[in-house]
Amino acid sequence: MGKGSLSGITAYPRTIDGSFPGLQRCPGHYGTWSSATQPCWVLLRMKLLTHNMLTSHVKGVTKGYPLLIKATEVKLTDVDFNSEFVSRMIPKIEWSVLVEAADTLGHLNDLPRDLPPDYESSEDFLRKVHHVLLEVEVLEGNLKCPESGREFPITKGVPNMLLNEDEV
Amino acid sequence: MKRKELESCLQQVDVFEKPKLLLEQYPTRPHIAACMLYTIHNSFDDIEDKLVADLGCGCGVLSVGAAVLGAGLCVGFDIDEDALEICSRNIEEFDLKNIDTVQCDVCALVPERFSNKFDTVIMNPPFGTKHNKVQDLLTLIFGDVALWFGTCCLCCSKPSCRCRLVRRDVDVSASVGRC
Repeated sequence: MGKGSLSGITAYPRTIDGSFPGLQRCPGHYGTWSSATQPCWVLLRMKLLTHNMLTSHVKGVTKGYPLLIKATEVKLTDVDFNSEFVSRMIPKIEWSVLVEAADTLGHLNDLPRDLPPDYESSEDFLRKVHHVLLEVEVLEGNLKCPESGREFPITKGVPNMLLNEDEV
Repeated sequence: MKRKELESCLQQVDVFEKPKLLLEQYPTRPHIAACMLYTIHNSFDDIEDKLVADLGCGCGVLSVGAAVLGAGLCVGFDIDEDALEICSRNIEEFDLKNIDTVQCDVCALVPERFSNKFDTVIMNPPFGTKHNKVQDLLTLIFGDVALWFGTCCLCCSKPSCRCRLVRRDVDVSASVGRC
């Protein structure tokens, strides 16, 4: 259990010398700590829900959406299912973009390409959406602007959307 | 979770090792972060199961707080990769699965494209307190962008330590309180 996590909170207060009793330094990863039973280093990620929000703002680009994902490293994770959150997100996202992104990553499974009209009442469907929105994570790769072709790299799960001076 | 518990949780967030003056980097103090997050969580129900954006997330104090309070997903935006490195470290150490980060220049975003995508924006943006004229504009830009994103809450950490809550639907700036 990581420090300060909510369920069964275990606080790891720092001692005067800056160490955490019960934890040890991860060798080779400056400044990180872990308990002996935990994996030493967990890469961060970009979820497909985040991807659904991002657009390219290169100068001259009219829409810059959706960004095409080219992933070299994808990870599946477990996130607690919350049907209310998922069904609220569905109207906010671009459904076809989500389907396309999941398909590109090879994790579409049997998610339908068209949104069923009564999706709110189908837990089975909401679980599939939950999986694709929050549990499929891109660790490495890039996002390509569909108009300018400009590629934004994803490194350790963090998309870098910074533009060069001539692109702003 | 009580406010004091949230505050002591946030005290364990790693902060900037070498803060950059020009980017006006300083960590949001755990006390004020806890005040702000606790209020918008309890009084307005704007955190739990919501899609939250943290503009100028830095080391991620506010994002970690939102995630711990049960945000559906919190997305932190920051320009500085060193800050995001520390933020990533914090996310890993707190074992949080509901935070994503994006490296970008918030001022360069086209805010209309984010219209109503997020439920809530939390931020402690640059306020131009470090003698940099360009930065005086940043507050306005951040505020502008935030209002496109969704309901939002500002935080001013210096010098008066007062949180301001701006909600588009209510159309009222309420002073959340002096911390």
